[in-house]
Amino acid sequence: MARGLWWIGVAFVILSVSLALWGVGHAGRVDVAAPREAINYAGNHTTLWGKIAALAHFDVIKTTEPLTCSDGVANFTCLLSKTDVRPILSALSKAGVKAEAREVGAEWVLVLYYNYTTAQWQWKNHTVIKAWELTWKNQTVKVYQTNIKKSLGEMLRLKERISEKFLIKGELKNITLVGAVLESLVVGTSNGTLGRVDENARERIRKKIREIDPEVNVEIAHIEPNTVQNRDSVFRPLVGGVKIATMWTTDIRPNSTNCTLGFVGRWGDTPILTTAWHCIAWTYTAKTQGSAYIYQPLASSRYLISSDLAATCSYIWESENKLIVTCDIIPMRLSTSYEPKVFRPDTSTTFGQVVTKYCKYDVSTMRVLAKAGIKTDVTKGFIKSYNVDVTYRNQRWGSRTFDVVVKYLVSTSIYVEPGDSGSPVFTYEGSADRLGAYGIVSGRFMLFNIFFIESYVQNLCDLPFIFDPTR
Amino acid sequence: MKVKLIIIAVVIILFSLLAIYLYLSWGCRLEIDIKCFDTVPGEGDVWSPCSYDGDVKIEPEIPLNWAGDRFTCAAGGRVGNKTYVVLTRTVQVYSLTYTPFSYEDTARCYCAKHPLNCIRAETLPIYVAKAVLVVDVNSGTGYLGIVYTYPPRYSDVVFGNDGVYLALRDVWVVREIAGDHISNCFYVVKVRLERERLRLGQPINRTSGVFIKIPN
Repeated sequence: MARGLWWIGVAFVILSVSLALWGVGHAGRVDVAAPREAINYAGNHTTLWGKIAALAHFDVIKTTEPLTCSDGVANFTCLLSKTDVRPILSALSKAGVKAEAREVGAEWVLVLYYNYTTAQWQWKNHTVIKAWELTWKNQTVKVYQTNIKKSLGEMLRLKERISEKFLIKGELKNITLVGAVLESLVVGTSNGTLGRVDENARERIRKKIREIDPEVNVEIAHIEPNTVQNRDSVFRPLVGGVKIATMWTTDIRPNSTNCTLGFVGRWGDTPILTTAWHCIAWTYTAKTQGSAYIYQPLASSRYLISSDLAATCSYIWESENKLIVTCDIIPMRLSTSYEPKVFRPDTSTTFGQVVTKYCKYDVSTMRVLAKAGIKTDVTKGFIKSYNVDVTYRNQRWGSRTFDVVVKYLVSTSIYVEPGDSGSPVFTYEGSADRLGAYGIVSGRFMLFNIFFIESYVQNLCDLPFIFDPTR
Repeated sequence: MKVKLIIIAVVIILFSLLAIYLYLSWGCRLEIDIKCFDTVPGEGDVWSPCSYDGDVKIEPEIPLNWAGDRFTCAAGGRVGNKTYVVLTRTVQVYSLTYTPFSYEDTARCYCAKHPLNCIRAETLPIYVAKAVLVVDVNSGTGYLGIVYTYPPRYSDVVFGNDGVYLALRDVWVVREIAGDHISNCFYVVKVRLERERLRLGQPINRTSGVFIKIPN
């Protein structure tokens, strides 16, 4: 029995010594378990800092996201790290990146971040324990070991918990956003006004988050996300280039169309909107007497923007079924606020300010004209002819069907489709957000209704009064 | 030899024209049953507003130029032991022919019908009309017509003992895509609704008048 115990003791000693020796042998080696998902994610990133952050995203390493940093002399991209550089190099190596690290001297580093509470960009000073410059394929990035409380992966895990509980399951009401920025958790709430968060809501949110993580820094902001505006959205103040619905009464029934709002501006001191006259089916002539209503964007009483005619161009009924007009533009008095702007006059900008107006011959055939319409958005072209008389056949107003001859339209190569009637046509005045008002879209010519030949534009100076689209 | 060449050229031209015509007129005639209803004196109950937020499947499919909205319930009620519902949805109409189909179909069929008129200038508004779909919920039989501007509201529909009475003016359909309007007529279709998403009101007042009566 005693002999048996002696052998067990020897075996225990051997095992202990082996384990101790294995531990000494591996003391200088850092082995990072990197899941395939993280390796793939890092592989899809092309920059060195992107690959490091991608690994941190999956909590393989303990760094932050890439940051804009400064040493007081120059700005550069850096990452802050909870650990020294070895786990980073090891994980990068597993992702196929053989980066080289060189230790550099630094006692502090400034990091730029967006402070959601004050709604400002700010620099924050971090004390540096150690710093390295990592190099890979001519790319360099600095990594600073600092006393950050949480790495990117840890912040994202916390964000997931908060998001699930408060944003998705709605355990806290009116939460509109949950995000992670550096070491801070950002929580957006709709409880507040004009960017200021309601104090009770702020305390309630802080308390709830502290119950989950008492240490994390929380920024609470008044954020009410809006869907991206498009031409169908409601615009108040009103601007040009947006969807309008029209309605007009006739001898038999009311009718309705969707068109594009042209320019808004003034006739003397009277606020005016413009769109194509045919969008209200040539209402207001001697044989088409009815009332017209303009809505933005939908035909509903709460969206009414005008029901009051300002003026018509001169016209003559040559016969029972032929109307001759000197313009295809209808100015109506506005009953809502407006700004002399055009919505998305170019794909690169949201609003364009109308800074000048051009009469017909002010724009040469060499100059680019553009239009902003609800169907074909922004299209551009050139003037082909300054003076064309066009017949629009089969126009209908109530029980009446007639042809309309519009005199002195401008023909252009700007592409248009149904729905673009009334669209503002303009020049760019040095930049995409400064516009010169030229006219509105009237119609187009199609060959066999398949091939687009040209579009027709009504110049603003053909109105029977001086219209100012700049104020 | 010269005569032979001329004959071949003429035959080729005629065949080309025929091919173009066949292409343009392909599918212009709608193979959908149409039923026209009389305007008759009637009496019945107006039901309070209803709601429906489910899908609506219509067979055969009619290639209407639907706008982005969904069918909504304008009126619903009972006729004897049957449930009827009146649904509406927006359709877009182009001034080329004032018919509610896509611009491409409308333009193609218009050119097949009026080849000399299809080289022309046109204005570019989009007219707004409403499809009116009267459905016998029990059998799934539906009647689909088009009206301009004012779709029926619950107060425009009367549920009588022998049918649904519509206080509508000028409901129309077309037999072909670029065709003329036929008044007081509807397409006859089969309709599948999600019945559990339909909420009916209740009778609120009795009324009489002259209406379009469905079914006859």
